[in-house]
Amino acid sequence: MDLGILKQALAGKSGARLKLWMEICARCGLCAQGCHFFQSDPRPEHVPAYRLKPLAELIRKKGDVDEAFMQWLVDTAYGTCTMCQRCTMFCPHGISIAFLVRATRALAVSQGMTPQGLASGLANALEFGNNLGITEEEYIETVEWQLEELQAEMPDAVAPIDKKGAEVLVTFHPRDIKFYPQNLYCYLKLYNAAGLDFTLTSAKGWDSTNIGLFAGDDPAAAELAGRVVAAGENLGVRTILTAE
Amino acid sequence: MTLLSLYDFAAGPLFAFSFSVFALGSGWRVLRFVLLARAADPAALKGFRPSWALKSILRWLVPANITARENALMTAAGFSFHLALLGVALFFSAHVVLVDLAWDVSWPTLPDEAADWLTYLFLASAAFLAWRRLSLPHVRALTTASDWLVLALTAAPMLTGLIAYRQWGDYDLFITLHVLSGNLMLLAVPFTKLSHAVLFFVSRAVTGSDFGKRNVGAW
Repeated sequence: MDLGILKQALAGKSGARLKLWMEICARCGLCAQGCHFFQSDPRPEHVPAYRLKPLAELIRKKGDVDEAFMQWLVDTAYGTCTMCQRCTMFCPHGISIAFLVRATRALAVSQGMTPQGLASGLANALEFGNNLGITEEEYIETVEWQLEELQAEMPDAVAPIDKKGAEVLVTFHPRDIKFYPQNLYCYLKLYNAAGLDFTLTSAKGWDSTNIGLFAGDDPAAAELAGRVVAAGENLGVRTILTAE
Repeated sequence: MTLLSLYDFAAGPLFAFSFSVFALGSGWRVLRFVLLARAADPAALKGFRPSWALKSILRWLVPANITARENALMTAAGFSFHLALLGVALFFSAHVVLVDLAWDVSWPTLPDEAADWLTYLFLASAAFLAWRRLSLPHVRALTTASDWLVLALTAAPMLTGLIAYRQWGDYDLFITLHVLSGNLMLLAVPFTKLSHAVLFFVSRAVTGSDFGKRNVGAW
């Protein structure tokens, strides 16, 4: 652990919103109603506002914490939240708990404590351009295979790759390429049926799920988002359709 | 210092001080948010969507939101608590008379009987909030000492005011405690979660604007 870096990360995250929301949370627990963790397993640790505790404690201690504390922080920030933001809908103050959870995750990232599964997905995303480590060749092959299948049903169907000047750049969740190509089939069918002027990209950036954002790793998040933007700009599209 | 001179001090110079701290401190909390947000990202304010911010504030100022539908009891308690507190503080006849005597400005008042009932309503809501903190495990787990302190700071002027008005105890004592606790509550606003008195509007505006950008409704 490097307390200097931790304190630096905390200072970097302590902006207007963090201060605002950490200070006005009334700890009323109304957010519990919106949380699927709490609804399926109503433990106190599953109340969204509970996820603010490690951050509040860290601010109170001015960053002077130990390894066990950080482990609790990691378990809370990564283990009890999918950052879906439903809790914000139920909060009378409209506090973005997901924003605060992401700030908390950034503190874990600053200590190299990103959970293993996320860390390897993130390494994949940075290296291969998608978090499942699909190679460009595999990606193109999967698209061509599904297009072929689709053409049996819809002979005029197309799936242009790197078509300059198309209206829309379609991006994917890599899960739909690797595990559920049937989903890819359905997307292509839908866009063709709708007469959408779309293109795919062969560049890194075809995966628009930003695992860096989810992990709380800001530089990685910026890199991954930048690739999607660059892919869109290079092709001159007007709209980028992001994945679920 | 006798009780009555303490009262005179608390209702005079101390109140002027507390009210100034309350007003300036609350204003500073809002200004600080804007300054910090602008320092972090000068473009952040440009993306602000005022109409969505306003919609979001309105949906929670009148109970037209998902929590009001799904948690009606807590919403009723919350609204009773806040409306009764503001109603009695601003429109109880004795309060308005004091302002009139001091600054020669006046406004309509509540009938004393209504103020009485509002106070009972407030105390019942406060009791409900306290009960909720104690009895719901997930709320108890969130609760900190400052939550109890802030609830006590808010309830104290209402309770002592009622006791003084009804003359249930030593009037001089309770009216002095009433004014002192009122001062304390005002002083606490900028420095505790009571700052939501003003920051509620800032927070809802921020979230309303964010959600508006995504076209997902004015939560």
